[in-house]
Amino acid sequence: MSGSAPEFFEDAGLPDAGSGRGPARPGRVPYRAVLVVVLVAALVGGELADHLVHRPSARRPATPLAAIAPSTVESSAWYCAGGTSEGGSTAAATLQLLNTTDRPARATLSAVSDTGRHASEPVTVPPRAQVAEVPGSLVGGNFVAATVELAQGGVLVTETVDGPLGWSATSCSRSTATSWYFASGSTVNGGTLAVSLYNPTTTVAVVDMTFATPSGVEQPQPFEGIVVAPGALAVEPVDRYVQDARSVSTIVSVRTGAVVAAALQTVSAGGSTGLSVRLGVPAPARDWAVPRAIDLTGGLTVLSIFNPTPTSERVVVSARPFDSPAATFSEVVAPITTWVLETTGANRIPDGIPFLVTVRVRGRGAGVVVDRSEDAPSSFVRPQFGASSALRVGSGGGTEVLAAPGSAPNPAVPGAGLATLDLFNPGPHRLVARVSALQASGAVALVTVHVAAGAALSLGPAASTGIGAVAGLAQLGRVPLVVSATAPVLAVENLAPAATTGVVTMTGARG
Amino acid sequence: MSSQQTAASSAPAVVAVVVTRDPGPWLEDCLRALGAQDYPELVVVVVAPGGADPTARIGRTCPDAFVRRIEEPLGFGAAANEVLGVVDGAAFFLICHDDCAPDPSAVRLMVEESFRSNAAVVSPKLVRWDDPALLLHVGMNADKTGAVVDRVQSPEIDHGQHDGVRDVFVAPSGCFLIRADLMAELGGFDPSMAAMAEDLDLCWRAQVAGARVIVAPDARVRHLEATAPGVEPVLTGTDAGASLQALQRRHELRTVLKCYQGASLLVLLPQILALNLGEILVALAMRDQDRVRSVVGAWRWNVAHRADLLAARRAVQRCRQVSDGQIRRNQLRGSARLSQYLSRVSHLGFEAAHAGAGGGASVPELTGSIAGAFSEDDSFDEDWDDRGHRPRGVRPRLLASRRSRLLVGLVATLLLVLGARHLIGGPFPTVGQLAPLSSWTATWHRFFATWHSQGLGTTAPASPASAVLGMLGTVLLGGMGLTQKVLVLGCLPVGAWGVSRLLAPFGSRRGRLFGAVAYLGLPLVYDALAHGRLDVMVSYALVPWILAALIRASALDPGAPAGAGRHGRSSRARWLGLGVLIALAGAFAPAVVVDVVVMAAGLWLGSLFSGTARQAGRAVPAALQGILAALVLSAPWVIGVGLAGPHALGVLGEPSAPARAVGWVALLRFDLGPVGGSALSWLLPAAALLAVLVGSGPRLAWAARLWTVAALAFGLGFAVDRGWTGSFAPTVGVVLVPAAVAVAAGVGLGVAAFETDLVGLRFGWRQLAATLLVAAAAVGTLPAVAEVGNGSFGLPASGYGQALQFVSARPGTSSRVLWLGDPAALPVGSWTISPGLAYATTNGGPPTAGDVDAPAAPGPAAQLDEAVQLAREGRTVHLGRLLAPAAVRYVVVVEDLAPTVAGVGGAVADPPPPDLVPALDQQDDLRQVPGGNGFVVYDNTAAIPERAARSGGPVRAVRAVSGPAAGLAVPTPADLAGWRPALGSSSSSGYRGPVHPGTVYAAMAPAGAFHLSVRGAPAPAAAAFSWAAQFRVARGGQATLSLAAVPWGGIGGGLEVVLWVLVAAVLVDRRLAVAARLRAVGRARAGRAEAPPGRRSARHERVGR
Repeated sequence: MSGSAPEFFEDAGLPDAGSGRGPARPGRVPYRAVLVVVLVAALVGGELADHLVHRPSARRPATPLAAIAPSTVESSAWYCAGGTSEGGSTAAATLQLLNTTDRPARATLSAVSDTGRHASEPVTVPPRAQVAEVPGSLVGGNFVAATVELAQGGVLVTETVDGPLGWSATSCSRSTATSWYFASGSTVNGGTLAVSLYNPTTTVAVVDMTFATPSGVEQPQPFEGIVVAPGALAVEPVDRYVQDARSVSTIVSVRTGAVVAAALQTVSAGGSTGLSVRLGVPAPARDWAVPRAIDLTGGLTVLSIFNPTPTSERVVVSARPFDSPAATFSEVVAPITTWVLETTGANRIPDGIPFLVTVRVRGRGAGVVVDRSEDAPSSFVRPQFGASSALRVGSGGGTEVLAAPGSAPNPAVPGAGLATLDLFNPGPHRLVARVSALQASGAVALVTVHVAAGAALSLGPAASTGIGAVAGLAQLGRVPLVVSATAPVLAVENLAPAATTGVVTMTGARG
Repeated sequence: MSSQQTAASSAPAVVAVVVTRDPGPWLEDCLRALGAQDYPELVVVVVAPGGADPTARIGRTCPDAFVRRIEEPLGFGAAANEVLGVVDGAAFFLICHDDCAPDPSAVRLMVEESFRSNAAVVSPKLVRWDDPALLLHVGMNADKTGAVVDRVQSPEIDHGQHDGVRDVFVAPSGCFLIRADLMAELGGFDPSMAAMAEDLDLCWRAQVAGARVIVAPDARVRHLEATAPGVEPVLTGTDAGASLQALQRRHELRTVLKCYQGASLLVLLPQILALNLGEILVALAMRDQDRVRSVVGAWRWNVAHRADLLAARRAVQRCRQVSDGQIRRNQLRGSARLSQYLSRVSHLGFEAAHAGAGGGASVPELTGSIAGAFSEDDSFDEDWDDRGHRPRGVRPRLLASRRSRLLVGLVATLLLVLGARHLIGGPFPTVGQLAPLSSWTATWHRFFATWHSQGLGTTAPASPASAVLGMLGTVLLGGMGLTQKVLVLGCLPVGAWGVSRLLAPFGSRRGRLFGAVAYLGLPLVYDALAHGRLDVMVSYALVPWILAALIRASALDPGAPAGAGRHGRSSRARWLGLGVLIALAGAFAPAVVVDVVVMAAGLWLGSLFSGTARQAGRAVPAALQGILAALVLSAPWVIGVGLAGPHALGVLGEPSAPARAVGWVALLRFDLGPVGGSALSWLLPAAALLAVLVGSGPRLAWAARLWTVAALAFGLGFAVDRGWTGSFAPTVGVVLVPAAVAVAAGVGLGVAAFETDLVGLRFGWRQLAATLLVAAAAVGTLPAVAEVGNGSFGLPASGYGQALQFVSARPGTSSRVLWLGDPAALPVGSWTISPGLAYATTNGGPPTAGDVDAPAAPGPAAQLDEAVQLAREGRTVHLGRLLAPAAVRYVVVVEDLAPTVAGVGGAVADPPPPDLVPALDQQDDLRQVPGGNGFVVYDNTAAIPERAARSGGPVRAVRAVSGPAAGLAVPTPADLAGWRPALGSSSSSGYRGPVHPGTVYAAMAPAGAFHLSVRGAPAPAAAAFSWAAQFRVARGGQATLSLAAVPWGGIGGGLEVVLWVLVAAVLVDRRLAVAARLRAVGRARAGRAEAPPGRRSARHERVGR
């Protein structure tokens, strides 16, 4: 046998072992067919398994900006922007720190003004209590931003602003982001629009801003390459460059680093005044909701549906008055374009009747950003104007926490309180929600309600439809509320004093 | 007028010179044959040097012959030269041995051909004495080094295949015709050449003088090859003791030194020296002492006879009419001896190729493993002429000849070299596992070291890969860059060679060639190279060998005796050899153990189809034995891995994000990277189905086994790819290697089946399918061929070593870098945080090769994992503070395989989980460093140095047992305040530097393994953060921080090395024993086959003929 003798070439029981010269006719071996069948089955089986078994997405899970950190976290922080200092006085900012835990929360409040002045102070929030802090008092200047850094979780920080034109409230953000979107805005009739870019990180941020107006997309050179130093605040007066635009949608894009962006809109025209401070939306979404809107005679309710993506989106808006068929509106929204839908003029939506608005994106796009703005007649209680982001479906949790508009001895504005508490059930099943008031002694249950699938429910003094007012809520309007539900629920407060629903709102934070 | 009549009337005189000494009975036959010549002018002169006087015998048989009796026992050449002094007027001499018997027309035909071809030297066709149908010589060739190669493969049946007049380089001295005037001008044979190569010398000189040497095959001479007049006297004289091989080699060298011009010698001598050196090395390895002595002796002898040599050389050059360039055109290209040796190795294997070594016994016949089955013999199929040209009218058989296969091999080699041209020239980028190697001493030191800096410090034994790298680096004289290139790029040819060897027993040379080329054509290895996956590359190289060893160790050959395998090797040696291969591969790719199990299971399950599962079931225990042997060979490292507990599985590989799974279809075509996305990549797996479709017998049975192996590998790879196997996540590329081997071997089997199983069948779908699939196999390599243009097989041009130099610790300081990213993209060995996210640390900057093999357990570094998780979950905004005790100065998030260079093209994107960077962005104490594409770097503003000192008190932090940071030792602001770099100077004894009273902190685990001496006195030690070391310094001064632990690493490493040496000795000894056995078998066989009726002549056992 030669050196390379075929030692495993020879198979027991196989023909022509060792000779290498096989039988003249292949195909006689019976197991060939079995082998082929097994191979084909394996091939097909693998492909089927690959297709049938779900492959998890690598997309980043959308986390709400205003979710309260669990009480067990090592540390947490909140970032607030958009307001002015007392010196600026247009929209003097007050931070509301709500401690939902049963132990004192020690925090450090660091404020920075648009002039670059920094200051910080320690803050202690008693258990199950809410305190107000005015960052402008620390640093002065015109605009102000603040970081609330905590050695624990369980604390919610919101921001209220008030001034001669009215007042507004918004959540602060628990994180920075590299993109922010504002669907609505206006620079007509003396309206002002300023975007605060707050960089609470230790990295320099470089920001570009893009505006979508009815006349097209604008990228003014002064809004390109805005450098925001670490810990600094930059305020960009949009109205100085984008003038007389009835609708201004804004994209804040961060080239390097990350920022927090908030917009301050003021309106003072025709006797109607108001302002709104809004935290931006960091990412478009496919489903949005406004649990309660009301068209007023002589007023204007507008939905601004902004498509910041590079692809067109088919958007369907459904406006459903309670107990009535829904009115549906559909539109293909082009890239970097805003669909301004005025529900007030729609015949299918009766005036004075609260209605639920849902906005859904058909197709496979990333989605849109939705704002709702209200403009009431000047004869109504001031402020008559207000704007806020719609609720992003999917961001809600089983527990929603809503800070009070100031503490009882120190309200955000005189007489500030709850008008309605609106609950929206985005899920497919009816849920049970319990509303509690958070007091120093603990949570006091107020009411337990059922919310039908895909429906909204309003509670409170101004809730004239649905189940109506709930006894006790009016008295507790200035205490924080906790909504505990059997399924994810979205909660939003309409606050008074204001001309109508939606002028001053406070969105619940996931607890 | 007939030619015979013409010769009779005016024939030039021919003198037949028969040299004889103590002849046997064949002398009479010789003389009778000469006497029976039809050539009229033939005179016979018998020269009888030494020995008994044969005059009476000659007179009885050939009374007309002249006898020249010489008392001195001259050699053959010197004796033949006697005719020059005694004969005058002859036109030709017919130089003859006394055991030659020319056919009656032989002399006439040679004379006629001499005139017709204007040739001065004419060689007849020499055939066997007792069986004229068998050829002995039809002229001979020689290469530029003087190595003589026969034109026929004796014994070769004469059916006219060589019956053409042609130029040859050597006319064998058994019988040839030479013009008398030329003989006189040349001075006859070189008298210094008592025996061996005298014909080479004469013919070479004849050609230098402008003469032509031809063979006239019509002239036939029977040759007994029984006697060698003149040999014995020489061997008993001054050259007593010299072997025939020694004579041959020194005479060859003398001829070369004589016959070349000076310029040619300048060029050729270095080549000859290099060849001789290589031959000596191989001969030494195979204990072929005779060959070593012969080669060395050739040089010594020629140097010793330099005066005589110079005189002879001057004489030759005086006769020169032809340049060396023209002479070279008559010689064989390349090295005949080397190609003959390589041919033997490739056909017979290493042992058998040397089986004939030592003692000059016949080497085994070049029959090939399938010689009896296929008519694929080169010379049988194709009759190449002496210049290497194919004669007209001969239709080539595709890839049937050795030369054509060699050509394919050369083309493949050329493509590989071209494809890797950018890698050959410069250093590898720091991509994947291709971190730069440390010096060879540092590599060895790492293997024997007790403490390693990985993680936060570990005493786990180093991977055996360090020893392998150290050994390679030592062999390559410390060239670690070259070591890395050899290791990485060598994997391609070694793997292809392994597949060729795997297919050797199936007997089809074309099958072996197709299998090897198919293996080279699969995208798997190029994708691995593009990703810097050394583990996949090494698996690619060694798994074919492991599979072959597994098959041998399984003793699947029913014909082998019980307990014995190839060449009678014992079962212990077989699984020990398998274990060595597994251990070698496992040093770089531990997941190869999974491959072995998959292959064993596949062999067994695949045998179910052919009903031989019971026999093939031995593969499983054989595999387990091999794995056990490998584990023992790597015992220290294995023990370290075992002690890692649940982390142990991590050494096999780390899970990638299921969302980034490549999918079933991509796996089937080995599309794991930039190569393989083409639809052409389907062709090779498809071609591997050929053996299943048309094969029969063993080819079908083995196709079933190989496809079962492939199916299991694909299935496991798919499960791992999709993340279904949890923390058991062997590297997908490594898992797919058995499938690649099976597919490539399937292609080779298919070609074998194409050659064998379709013979005799009418044309039908099988032929059509077979033709298409064979063509598909060839076309299927095109995606890989297309990568040649890239120059680096897709490996990025730059790695993290260059891009992240800025994270290096400044001189005198010490810090760590925390690496986060997909484990497939990290340029460093890592531990899993979650599928698709892993972490690792490097000390003081970008990774080196020592960081590639991470210990199985992270040890205290696990707290880095927990801290990062806290950040990802939004449970801290102070990640920097949590990382500070570990001296993490920089956090590098790897998003791509390599840094992206704008405008040059991106690398493969291996993004980390999408929540990672946003989570790090939220950290108050991490500052993102601008710049860089493909990675994000954060500067930890809270970091403290790895070795630090402060005037304040010790660290007070303790490990939290509950709350969000449970398990973490959370530092307070006071714990991190006031530290300055210290002990920044590194020496063999530890870290040195001045310290002041206060506290010295060392972020090096385990805490108890270090001690600090200040002014020679030990400083009180305590643990900080429950794992780091801190020392209280009462009095300042020069301090040294050193390891104070039992050197288990050195002890374990030493024992491991000893074990390897012992195993190597056992295996080499076994191999030599096998070689010796083969030699004995070869001798016995040669004795049976070649034994002549009379005394066996040593004359014709000379090497190379």
